[in-house]
Amino acid sequence: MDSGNTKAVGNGFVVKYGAIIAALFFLVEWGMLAIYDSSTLERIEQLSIFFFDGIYFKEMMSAPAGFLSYIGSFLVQFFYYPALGATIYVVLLYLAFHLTIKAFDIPKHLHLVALVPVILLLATNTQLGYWIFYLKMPGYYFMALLAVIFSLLAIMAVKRLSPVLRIVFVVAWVFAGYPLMGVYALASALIIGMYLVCKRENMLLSALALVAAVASVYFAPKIYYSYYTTVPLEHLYFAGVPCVQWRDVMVAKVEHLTPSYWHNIIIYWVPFFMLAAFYAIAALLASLRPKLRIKEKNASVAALLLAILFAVLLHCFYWFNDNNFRIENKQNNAMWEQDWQKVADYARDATVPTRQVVINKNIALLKMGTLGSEIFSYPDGSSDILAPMAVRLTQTGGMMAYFQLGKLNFCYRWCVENAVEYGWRVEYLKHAVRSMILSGEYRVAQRYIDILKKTLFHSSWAEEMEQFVKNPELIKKEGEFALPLDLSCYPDALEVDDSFVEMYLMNGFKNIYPEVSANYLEMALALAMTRKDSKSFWYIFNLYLNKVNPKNIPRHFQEAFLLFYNLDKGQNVQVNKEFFDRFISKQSSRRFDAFLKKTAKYKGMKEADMAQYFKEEYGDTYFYFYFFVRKIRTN
Amino acid sequence: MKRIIIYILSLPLIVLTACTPSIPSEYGKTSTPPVIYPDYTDVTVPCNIAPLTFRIENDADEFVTRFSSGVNEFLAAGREVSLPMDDWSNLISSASGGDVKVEVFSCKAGKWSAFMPFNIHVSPDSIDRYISYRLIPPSYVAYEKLAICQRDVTTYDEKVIYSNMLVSAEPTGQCINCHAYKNYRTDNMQFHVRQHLGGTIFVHDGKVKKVNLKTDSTISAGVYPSFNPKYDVVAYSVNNTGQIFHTKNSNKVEVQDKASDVIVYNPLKEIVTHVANSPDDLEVFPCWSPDGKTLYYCSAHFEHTDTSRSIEAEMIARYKDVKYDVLRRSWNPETGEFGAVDTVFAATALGKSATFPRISPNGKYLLFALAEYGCFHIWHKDADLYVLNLETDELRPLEKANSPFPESYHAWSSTGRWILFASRRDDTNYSRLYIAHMNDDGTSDKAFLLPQSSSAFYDFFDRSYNVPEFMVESVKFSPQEFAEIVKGESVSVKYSTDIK
Repeated sequence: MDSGNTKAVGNGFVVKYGAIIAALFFLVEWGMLAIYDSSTLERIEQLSIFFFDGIYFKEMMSAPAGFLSYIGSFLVQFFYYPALGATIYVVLLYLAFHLTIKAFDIPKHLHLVALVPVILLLATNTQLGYWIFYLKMPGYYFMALLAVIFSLLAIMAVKRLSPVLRIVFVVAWVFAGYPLMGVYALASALIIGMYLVCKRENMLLSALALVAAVASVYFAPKIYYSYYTTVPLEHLYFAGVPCVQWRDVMVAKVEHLTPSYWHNIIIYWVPFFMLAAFYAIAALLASLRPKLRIKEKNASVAALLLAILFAVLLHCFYWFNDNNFRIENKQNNAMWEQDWQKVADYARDATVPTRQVVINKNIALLKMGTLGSEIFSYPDGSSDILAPMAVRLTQTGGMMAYFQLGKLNFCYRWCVENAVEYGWRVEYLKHAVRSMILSGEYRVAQRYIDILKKTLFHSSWAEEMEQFVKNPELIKKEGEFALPLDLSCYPDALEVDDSFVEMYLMNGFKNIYPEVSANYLEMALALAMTRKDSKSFWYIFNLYLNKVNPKNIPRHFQEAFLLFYNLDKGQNVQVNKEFFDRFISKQSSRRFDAFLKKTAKYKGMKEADMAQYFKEEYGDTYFYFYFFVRKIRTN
Repeated sequence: MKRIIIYILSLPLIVLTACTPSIPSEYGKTSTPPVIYPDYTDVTVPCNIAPLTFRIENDADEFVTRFSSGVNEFLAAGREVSLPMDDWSNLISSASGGDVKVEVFSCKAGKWSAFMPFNIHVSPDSIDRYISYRLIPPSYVAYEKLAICQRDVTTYDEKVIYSNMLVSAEPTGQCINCHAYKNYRTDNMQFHVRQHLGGTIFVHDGKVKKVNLKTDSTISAGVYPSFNPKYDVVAYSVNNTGQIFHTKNSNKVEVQDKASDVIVYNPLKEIVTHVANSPDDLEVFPCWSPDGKTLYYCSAHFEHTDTSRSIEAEMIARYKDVKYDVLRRSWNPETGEFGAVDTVFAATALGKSATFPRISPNGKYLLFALAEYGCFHIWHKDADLYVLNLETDELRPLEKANSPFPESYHAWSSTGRWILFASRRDDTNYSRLYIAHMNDDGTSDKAFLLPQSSSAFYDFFDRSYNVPEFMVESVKFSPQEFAEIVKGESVSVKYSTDIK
């Protein structure tokens, strides 16, 4: 069967509207990526790096599939503008769709079946979620797609060769392609071999081509093992696909997995297996198709339904749509843009936020001077992170939190630690630059600036930072640096965070030093209140009054004062009426009294029901947080 | 047609001529030398070193550099200055014992000027052909890609001796460290593998094995090694090491031994015994004398005085009180017994801490790193290299080799004419390898950065070099052969009070 037969198909729905359906599909996916997933794409770009440099190229090529990784990293940088990056990605997806049709001579009434590998390629990326922080494969987002395109081109090329040359081609494809494409070169060689056999143009030579492909696939990684010093022999057969990382993480921590182990196998591995299976079947059907006496109309409907089925599966099960994940990424992007109102506003979109969302919101409120009056008026809690592996703030938002809260050495430390594990990425470099500038370590800051200056989209940011290295006097005038400098008023000490960022911050802000600023005390108070630690609260509150001498006490601090004073029953803290009149607003007092009366009234109610019942009226108070937001799990 | 063929044939010649640099016929002079990176001005290099490639950092449109020595003269055009291997070899061969004169001419807005020339001094003392080092990101706790590599210093060739990635992957990470050689040769050498498939990979008389040096009587497996150059024993420290982080200090991290002793390993009998294990002393960094009859090491006295907290907590609180002296004990190879402890250099008396003792091949000099406190001087900005004349007790800093940034991990060449060390002077974070010529009087000449084929190499290379060692020959096993040994079973040593 060839595409010439399509003339006879008539004007069936699929043939008539197939192109429009495909176009709609690509348009929808572009929208999903460029609009719905724009914050994720931006973060993926921040978690990658590309620049033209010999050492960078050599490092990339030090493992099989390095070339895919290199080109993939080049393309990922365009996610800096999500619409542009998504356009490039979708154009390449369309190319894969088109080449699939061409390579396997898929007739027009079956064209839509070529959407299946496109959907599977999408599924290898859209389910990533928190893996974007942990994958040790630069350029991963484009690797499978590029590999499929190159492999389809190889199939198209091999068809034009004589049977003898096909054997040479297959062997050359494996041995030349393996360093460039890793496992994709091996898989595509097998598919080419199968395709040639199924074509039955010259059975003996085609069979030889298949044997050559199998032998090459078996031997090539073994031969290359003596060349590569960065990959274990058993991993060489998976080079280019992160299933080794997925396997190790999942096998090691299967008992902690949420959701289940098998669910993760399906989510992460199946798209790759199905992709290989699709092309293997396409190769098998290359010769069988004419013999299958299936009505074209039925076949075209089946193709349409298959494409729809896979598209539904993609969007229902293979698109990571965790709201907190998106909020975290949006907040992160807004933090780099210094748009603190946006950072706080995004936190309102969470039902139960992750701790990262809360920390980011707190930083934003501190930046805007409204921490004490707004911190508990946002959704609070500690939602589980939806990931199959342990996600730590040290790899996600910890560096930003450390920087903004003045823990400059710890910010830098995690930039370096993460760079060791995952390679230098734009995000790490930018944090490293800022933290080292504020630490006065200009030479090392300049080193990272020089790297960023070689990138396409971050050179202007690097040049902005360079002015602080060249003229450190400007640092104190820069608004972006005011808060971290203000909060880094502590003396040097030897400490560890054990990878628990929020707990470390909470413990750190318990320590009050002679030089602490109003911002420091406000954050220290807010964290004492988050810990529900009345002893720390009183100690810091007293210092706050003496050092800051505020005209008005922010609302939540008043609420904490009333609550702790009430719980303390005046045993440890005595306050005169003048203090109440001056600092505690009538509204706060009234609300607190009403809250107490209401809690007494509904004493017998279950806590969960009470929490729900009180939320509307008191959900924006510290009282509510204290009594009803329980089991905060710091990260 | 004939004319076209002539044109085509002469094209390469035209291109070649156009690219050949020439000294400008007219130029002014400036009174300052050019700013170059790496700084190779007035350094002393061995007569067999690879070409020194550098870049000119002054602002100009064009550059021409002239290298001259005797009748030899070579020109290089452009900001990046690099001579082909053959030209460089000719140049330094002819300059051996003398100088290579380097003149840099720059052109700005059409006007040429010459910087003040500088010299590269070429010592007739050749350098050991190979060095080895561990490449590690300048991290603290994390590690991923670690490699022990060997470099031919007469060229730019680098090869991996062993990479941890050959057998490890998430979550079974593997650290590798402490490579060492006997008498600069590789028939007897070792390195450690930690965590996953851990053990010491030990090459003994050309045969490789994996050894588990941990016994019930010692606090850890072997750590810092020193092969006895004459006898079949190896000294190790055994350490219980931790890391803790500065919240502000630019030193960033303190690496502390909560406990450490020194042991000796007999690879023939597979036994170890203690050399130094006083409960209140932290003994570390063993180093044999060239005659194999004296063992030098460092020791810090630290008493756990505050019983209300753990020794770890007290050590963290009093981290500046941990200071090391250099001690030694004689060793009788016939009986295997060690003599009394002798203090070689009482750094604590100066309020300092001395680490990493290294004895020159002629036995005359003790080279060590000195800083205010602690044992891990590669993270201490005040750490400098010092030399103690063991005959006269004269102490001197290696002023021309030191910098305001950490210097440590030093090693003598087999001839004692060169030292190799790690320094963070380039960008304060990444340690790089420097080589300095040692003079008869225990002073050094200005150190030079290990040359690379491109001056930009270090700008983007994101690994630190540590524990550099000289070798006179390359390692005879491939990384994959070592990997197979790592995957195999290890030989467990036994503890004995008698090392013989």
